[in-house]
Amino acid sequence: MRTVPDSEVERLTEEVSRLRSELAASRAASTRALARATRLAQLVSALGQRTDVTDILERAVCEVAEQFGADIVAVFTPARDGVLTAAQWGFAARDLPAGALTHLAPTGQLSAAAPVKAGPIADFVLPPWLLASRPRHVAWSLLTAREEHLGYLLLLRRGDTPFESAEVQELASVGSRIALAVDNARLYVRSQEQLRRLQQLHNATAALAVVVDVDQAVRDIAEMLVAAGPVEGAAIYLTGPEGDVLAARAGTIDDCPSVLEADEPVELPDTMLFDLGIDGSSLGRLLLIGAHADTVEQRSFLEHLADVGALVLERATLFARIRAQAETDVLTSLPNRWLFMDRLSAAVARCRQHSTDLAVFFIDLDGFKQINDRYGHDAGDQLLVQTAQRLSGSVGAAATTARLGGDEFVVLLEGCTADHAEAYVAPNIQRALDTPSRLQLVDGVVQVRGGGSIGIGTAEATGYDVSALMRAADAAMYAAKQARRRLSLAAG
Amino acid sequence: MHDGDERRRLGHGSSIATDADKAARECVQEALGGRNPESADLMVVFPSVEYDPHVFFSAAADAAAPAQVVGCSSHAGFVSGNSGAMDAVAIYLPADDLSFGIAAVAPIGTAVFACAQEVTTRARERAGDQGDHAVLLVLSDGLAGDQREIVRGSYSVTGATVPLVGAAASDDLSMSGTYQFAEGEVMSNGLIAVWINAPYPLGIGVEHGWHPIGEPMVVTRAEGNVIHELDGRPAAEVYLFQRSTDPAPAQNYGSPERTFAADTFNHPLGLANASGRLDGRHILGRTDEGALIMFGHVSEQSVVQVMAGDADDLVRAAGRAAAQAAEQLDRPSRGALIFSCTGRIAPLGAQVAAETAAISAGLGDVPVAGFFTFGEFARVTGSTGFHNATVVVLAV
Repeated sequence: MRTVPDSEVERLTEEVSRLRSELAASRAASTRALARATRLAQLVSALGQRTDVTDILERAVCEVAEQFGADIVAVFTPARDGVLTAAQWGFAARDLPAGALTHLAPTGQLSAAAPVKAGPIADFVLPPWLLASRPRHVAWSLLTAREEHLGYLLLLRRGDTPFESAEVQELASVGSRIALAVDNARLYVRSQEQLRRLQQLHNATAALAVVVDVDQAVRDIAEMLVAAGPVEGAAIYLTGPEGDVLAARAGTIDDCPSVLEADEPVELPDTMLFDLGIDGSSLGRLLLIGAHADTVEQRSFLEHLADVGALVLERATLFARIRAQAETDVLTSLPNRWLFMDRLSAAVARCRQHSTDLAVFFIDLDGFKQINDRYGHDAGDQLLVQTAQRLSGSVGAAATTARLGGDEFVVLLEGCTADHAEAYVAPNIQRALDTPSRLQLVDGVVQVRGGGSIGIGTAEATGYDVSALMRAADAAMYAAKQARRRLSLAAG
Repeated sequence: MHDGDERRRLGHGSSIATDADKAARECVQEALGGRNPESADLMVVFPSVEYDPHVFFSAAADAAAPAQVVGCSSHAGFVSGNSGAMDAVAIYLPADDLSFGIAAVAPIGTAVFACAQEVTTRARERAGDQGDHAVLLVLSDGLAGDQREIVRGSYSVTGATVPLVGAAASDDLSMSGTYQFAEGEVMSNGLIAVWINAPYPLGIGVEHGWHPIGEPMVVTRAEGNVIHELDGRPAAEVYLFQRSTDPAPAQNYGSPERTFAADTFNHPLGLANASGRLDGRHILGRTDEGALIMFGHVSEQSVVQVMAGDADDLVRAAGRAAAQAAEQLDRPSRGALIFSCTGRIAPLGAQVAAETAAISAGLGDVPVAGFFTFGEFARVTGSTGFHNATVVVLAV
């Protein structure tokens, strides 16, 4: 058996040991290479699911610090007087100076062609608060997306581990990846904001579409603007004979004028004034206080809201006009039959519930046909208008005086008993009817004494039945007319 | 040794008594070694989860009064000069020229980052602001989500100049709950920060001793602490293929997941960091779909490698950790706290005590003590600070 010399055993042992350590070093190098190759992918993966810019930057500085073995990583964004710390990893929060940092980023030394500058601390000028953490190696990277400069990425190593040239190249990619993530997040936020505003606009429009009362419409529009729009206060002025008068307000707008001058100055930078008009006709104006309309989107959103407000206001105004027409006698401006019957039904129901009474006075003018025939329809119309005014005046604002048609009028007086109607109200009405009217004719003025017959019906006596009540009043009026006719014949 | 040195020396004590009150008093008295504690001193206790935490911590606080007491539950504790795992361990840190600021918060729930910020800020205030050489010691709930968030939250307050050290509290591997104790309160799902101000540098060492086997792999799909795919294939399958040995004969740990965890203690995964070194990550279990459940979160696209190591490797690593810590001190050490991963117990086997002894020897035969954790914190330079399968030394 051959004996291997000790020296040979020793040599072989050393050789094995050397080969083992070479193998270990080679393995470590390949692991390190693979780890480096995937760190950009790690960063992209970590930032990929984030949509909030602050969140992205905070995560980015932490990931970059861990993956690049940096003790300190920070992102600075451009500000008016320098840069602001947007996110940082490794500074004690309380050591960061407040406000904008001047002369920090190496603005002149970084470009699209050379977006990263790295080297030992001696190659850089850094402020004392930053040097307090005793960094030894520094790297700056430009954050650029779609040619827009978004800021700077700073890495500091406290250990004596220089940034290698491969890392400098990687940091350029890291910078653009972070910038891209920020850019994507901004786009996402913007599109979400647009979507949210569209939704708000839709909801506001849907809610306002059913509003037909002008008072409620202006209130709702003002509230909608404060709730949905980026404004602190909103006031709506409606155009009338006395100018643009305050109709509604919402939010923080306590000291707005009650009447808006035609050339009202808009002094504050966040105050805006919109015309509420459709097709050139102005219904009023909209005053906004604390309006945040820095971007085109915000301004356009406010304009949309103002347009919606104008549409709603126009609709409510139109509706009010149509309703007035539907409820009013065109000639006398008194409530017409429809409105009278509506109010009568409601009043009878109330009386029934509270066991009170009401009276209806049925009035028919005497000799109206003859006046019409003799002096013409215009003169007849004048007689009807004057009679309407006198009737309204004779019964007061609490009563409803209406024209049923032709020369028939009615008066509704709630809380009026049969006795009171007979003793006090009817004589007043009769006096109004008997007062002569002066009619303007083509060839001069003529005075006529028309007179009229009154029939009274009361709710209690007719069992709170609207139809029975109207029939009773009509019958009473007819009886009165017959009586007046007989009296007239007897007198003649 | 001078009387002054003896007064300043770190003291440790241990107990295997079954009664919580007795165990607490025994280990604290032993740690005090006849010295009278002062209110500025710190007593750190690590009881096993088998003790009633309220009885144990209350007795420890009583025995250590007026010193401040902090601690957390442990899988087991250890002290230098003793060969076995201990049910209760106490470490006495006479303040001398150190000052300690203690803060705690519970429950931390999902607000891990914010809680870490909060306790770190409060601890610093209570230590009388930041000293020339400050170190932050944290003790967390080992079952509280992503422990990296603790490092991140604390780091945002300390900045890069204050080293971080500490551990995640452990239990008996039942994963049913851990305890923390500070400010006189027993917590579960709590976080404790101890801000230590020193007029001279303290030493921190961190090593694991594992070496990679097989090929490096990319984590192609992961969520939180679950690795679904490695190199595009089911993670558990790839992991088992990569380790060159079959899992040890299955021991019954009560459930298949726990048995799998125990079987993989000898082969943790290594997570490649920026320097090319591998940070250890133990495996907690596997899912029916073949994913690996890890101790600690693993990022997608990170590079991992299966690791191996025997007891000698691990003990040598402990010696290196002690040497690192000693190098940072500018004076003889008076003792050290040790945080060693629970996953190291099985591979250390009969040499569990050798790890402690190696650290003690590396620091000049000083008293050292600590516990087996569910994760270790150590950050001196760089930005990664959460470890696993590792031993961490804080030398004072």
